[in-house]
Amino acid sequence: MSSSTDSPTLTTETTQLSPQPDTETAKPTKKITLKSSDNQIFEVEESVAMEFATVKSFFEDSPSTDTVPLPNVTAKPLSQVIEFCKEQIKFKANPDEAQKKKYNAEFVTEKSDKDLVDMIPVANYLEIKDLLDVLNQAVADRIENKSVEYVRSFFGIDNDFTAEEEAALRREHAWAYEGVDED
Amino acid sequence: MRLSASARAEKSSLDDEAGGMSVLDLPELVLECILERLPPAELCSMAGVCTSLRERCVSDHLWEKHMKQKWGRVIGPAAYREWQRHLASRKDLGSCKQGKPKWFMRLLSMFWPSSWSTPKADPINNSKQRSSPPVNSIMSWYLALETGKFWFPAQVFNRENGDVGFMLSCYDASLSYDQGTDAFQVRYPSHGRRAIATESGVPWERLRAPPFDTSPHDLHISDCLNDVRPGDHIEIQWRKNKEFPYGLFSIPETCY
Repeated sequence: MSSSTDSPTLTTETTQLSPQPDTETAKPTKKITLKSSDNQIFEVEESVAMEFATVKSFFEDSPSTDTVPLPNVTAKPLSQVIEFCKEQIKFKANPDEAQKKKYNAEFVTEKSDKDLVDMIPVANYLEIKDLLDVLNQAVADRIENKSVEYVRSFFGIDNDFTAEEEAALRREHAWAYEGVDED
Repeated sequence: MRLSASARAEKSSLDDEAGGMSVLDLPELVLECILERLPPAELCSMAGVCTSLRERCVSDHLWEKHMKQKWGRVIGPAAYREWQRHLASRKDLGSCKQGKPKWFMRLLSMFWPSSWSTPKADPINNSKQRSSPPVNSIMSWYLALETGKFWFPAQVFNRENGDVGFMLSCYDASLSYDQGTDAFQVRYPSHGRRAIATESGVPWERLRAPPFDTSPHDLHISDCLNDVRPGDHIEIQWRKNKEFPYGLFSIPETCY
């Protein structure tokens, strides 16, 4: 790790990438219109839209389309997903793993539980693998060391165990139930 | 296989999420990805959330990694056989209510919450009914090890009086894990006139799975003696002789 100075691909803290990647000025920016299931319109740059594998293949199938309907996606998670992908494109232009990791961590930290859980099906539907990985890990991290009740409310799941089953589970999984964080 | 976007749209069943997304509505693969990232204690918690998650959280493929990671180094074929013996003895005891070991009853009730009082019931039907794993699932083994309820055979490196000369030798022993101290309780078998010895607080570093799958009382016949070259490391067994504990032949009596 200490050999970062001889590696030309690594960017150090002091030489961070500029916020505007060169590619944006080099290419004419084509906009693509996305329409969410609640009829909100999002104009995004083509490079961002192409991060969505689903949208990309939609365009490959019907190149003349100007608006891509996304019947499975509501506006709020979509706007957050777009925000994420915009940043990822900057990292593609100027690879900096440390910065990218930092951004990804901050991206999920500031989201509410609901926002996180709502974004997962969107990332899955749009086939944004990087985001899906980040979200899955974030969810796994958030339920770590939490009580069963917390996990239930986190995911909005109803308890369908009988009282006896629940008591048996509680006894048997005692070691897992011990020392959980306060909800 | 590539689907067009419209085909995907039709395929997906996520469009009626207005009433609040549940993790159970996630596509199978996505949920799997989350579960794969959970450490053992969280998998256990998740198994307690609802029957559907329980069905997923007990599956062997999720536990295999944890088993390997935590126990792989000290668990060998002998330990696995011992576990199978435990399972078999539970089967035998199934019809004899008095004879069931307590820990096993607890394990049983964990995996068969609705059926543990009817031990003769067909496990396969039960697993369908209640989505529980068979008792011989990796999870049940992991938990039996983790909670120290299962004593497993392994080898423990000698710390006899801190004498460096003997610290490379090891004994076959039976071990139980103590989660609180992250160390082991050890029972050394009796040998000849020596009674069973016990030791506690034995750290992970002193453990290993037996390098050969031979009983502590049998002589291992090496099949690679002809290939031994200068510089090779060899292990010498002091087994067989039941009068003395193996590994201690050259320690003078004054050490005891």
